[in-house]
Amino acid sequence: MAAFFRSLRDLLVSLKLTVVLLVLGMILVFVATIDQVHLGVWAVQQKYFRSFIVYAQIGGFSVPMFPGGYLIGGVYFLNLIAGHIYRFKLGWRKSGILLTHAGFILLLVGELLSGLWQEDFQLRLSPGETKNYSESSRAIELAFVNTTDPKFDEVVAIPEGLLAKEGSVQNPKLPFRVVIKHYYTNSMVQMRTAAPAAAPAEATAGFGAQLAVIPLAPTYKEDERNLPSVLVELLGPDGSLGTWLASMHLVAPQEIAVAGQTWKIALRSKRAYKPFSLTLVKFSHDRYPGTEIPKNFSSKIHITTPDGRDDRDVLIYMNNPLRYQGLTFYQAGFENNDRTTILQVVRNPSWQLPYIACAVMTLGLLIQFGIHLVGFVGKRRNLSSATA
Amino acid sequence: MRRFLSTVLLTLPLLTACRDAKVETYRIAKETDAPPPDANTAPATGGGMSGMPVDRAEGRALTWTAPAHWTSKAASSMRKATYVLTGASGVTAELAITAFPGDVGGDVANVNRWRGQLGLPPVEAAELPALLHRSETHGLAITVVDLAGVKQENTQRMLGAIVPFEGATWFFKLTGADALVATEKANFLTFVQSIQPGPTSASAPAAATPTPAPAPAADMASTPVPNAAGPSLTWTAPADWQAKPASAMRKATFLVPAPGGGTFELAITAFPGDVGGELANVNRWRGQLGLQPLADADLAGAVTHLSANGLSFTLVDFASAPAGQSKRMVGAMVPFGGATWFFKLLGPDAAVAAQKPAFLAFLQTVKAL
Repeated sequence: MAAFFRSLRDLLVSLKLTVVLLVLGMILVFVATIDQVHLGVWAVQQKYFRSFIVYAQIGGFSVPMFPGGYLIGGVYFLNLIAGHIYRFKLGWRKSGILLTHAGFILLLVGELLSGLWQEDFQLRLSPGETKNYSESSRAIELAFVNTTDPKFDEVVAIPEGLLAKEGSVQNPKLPFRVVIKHYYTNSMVQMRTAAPAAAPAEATAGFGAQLAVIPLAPTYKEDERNLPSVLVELLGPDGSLGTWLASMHLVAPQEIAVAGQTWKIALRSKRAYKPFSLTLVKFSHDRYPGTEIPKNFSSKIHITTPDGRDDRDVLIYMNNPLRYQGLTFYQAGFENNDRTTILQVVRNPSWQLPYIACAVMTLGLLIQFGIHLVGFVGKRRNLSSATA
Repeated sequence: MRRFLSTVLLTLPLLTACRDAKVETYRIAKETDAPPPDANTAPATGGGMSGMPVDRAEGRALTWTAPAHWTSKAASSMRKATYVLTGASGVTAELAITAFPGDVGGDVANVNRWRGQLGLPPVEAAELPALLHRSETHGLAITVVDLAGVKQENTQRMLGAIVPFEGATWFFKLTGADALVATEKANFLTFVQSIQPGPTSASAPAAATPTPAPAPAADMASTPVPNAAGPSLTWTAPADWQAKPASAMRKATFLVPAPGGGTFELAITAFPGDVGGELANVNRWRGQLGLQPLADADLAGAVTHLSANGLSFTLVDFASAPAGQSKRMVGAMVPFGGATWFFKLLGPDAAVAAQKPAFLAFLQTVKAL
């Protein structure tokens, strides 16, 4: 056992491991950059960097191909820390190197925390519209909303990850079991009357029976988004409640009555509810007089909290986001003939870490080079005074 | 120390494991459903209005007589009909006719939804009677409301009529610039009086119940898209093509004569960006002919390319089944000045085939202004 730990320690503190990890990291960055052409930046980050293992699809199977960013970064992180603890000697000559490495460790930690905690959602508001949630521009969810109670709605949301597995989902809040029959990452929906050649409908209830789902290849382009559809069968205690089609193409939720409860089913952008509401008072798109050149975009927003603590107007414009309850609301865009505003809602508690890390590394390098420079200049002076 | 290291090593994967997909449950304050989709509040989830099959009211339809100067637009799956009204200096207003099952929330909800679209605050039920003008014609109870937006530079005005009919509610909504809508109000009221139940047979007149257009992602006809307002293209059309006045949505329209008499249209439009990319555009056009969408791999085989005056056109030529009486579309798209320009020749198969050489020659004349 002791021998095992010793070899583990020797491996962890070894500089060879550092070099191997750096090389692996370089290969990973290179391959990921090339693959960005096919997948786009977001999918590449998920596949190569925010993963432990990079898988490749070979003949329908996922085959592990290469260590992912979390694995390389994680082991590198341990290697750095272990190396420092093992070889640690306090002394001012090493202070620059120590600081540089500390900065680097902070950078690794910051990236991990961003990956875990960052929330990047959007909020679309038309004039007079009030919302107390933001929506993801990528992630989707299958939402079952129990609207029976007159005072509140109960939401059960199944995330995309589970839908894609096409298994079955049981939740104590749901009066039925959800069997996911088909999940289409990207799809098109047509009226059956317009698509006579489509395969027979699998959906037996709701709008789905009149619609044909046509699977499409997933898109990875920056300016496009996948519009998924899902076919689910609901199994109640007394048997099937029908197969339902939920799709991002359907705006209105579908209703089902089960055991005296009313449930609404909708596939929608993943929502993050907030303990406050925002109302768009006015969106302005100012142009320079006589031209179409944009001068300013701004959204006048009214914030209200249920407890009445906040009930005020704020103005969000370019480079002047609203920071509220740990979230940052940026003016991100507009649509619908300059009527609807799009706000980017970002939560990243660790956003300062990369800046601090870079500052620490810069300081460390300055100290280290400073020490060498002072030593070098001192040596030259001694040499010249000795020869004089 | 060793224990510390092994603990860290073991907990690192656990840290990330909490990102795994889990079913979330939570309670929220009572939510009212989104109002029945309306062109003015189209959510931008990628699909246009007509891409969303909503529970439209089917069954017996209403018919009406529209003033001659209102231009009927292609129907979409969301709309029963659409008319465009053009005023002086090219200002336009649009009359949208939709129908939904039930009462769609009642008068208060419907009026307040319209008020919301104009940026007006909602009204209470008690204030409602003062805003509504109720009348009866052809056995239908018609409720008319006249709403003007907040006074500002380009105030919008809305004239709406709500007509309950056989378990559904029909909405006639005229929206546009204040001045134009005000001048058209008399016409609108006459129009409203012309509304009457359609024939009982299943085959109602085509004008009142247009067949739902096959609807892929976005339907240009009913989604308010910002027109590309950048640099412009110019062209020289054959002498026998008759130019129609431009509308807000179109850069130009030509009436192209068919060999056996009659005309069909060449529509020229431009929209910012790539409008979803070549595949999406080609598939939208295919959808308009009732054809199945193409896969990415099939795209290269379905299009041809043409270069003229430094512009690179992508050409398509599709005919809908069945042959003989089928429709045909010869279309060209060209990216120019940060926008995509579309030239769409759509008409009966034989007529379009006869005019195709003229269309290709016409494309050779297209150049930057």
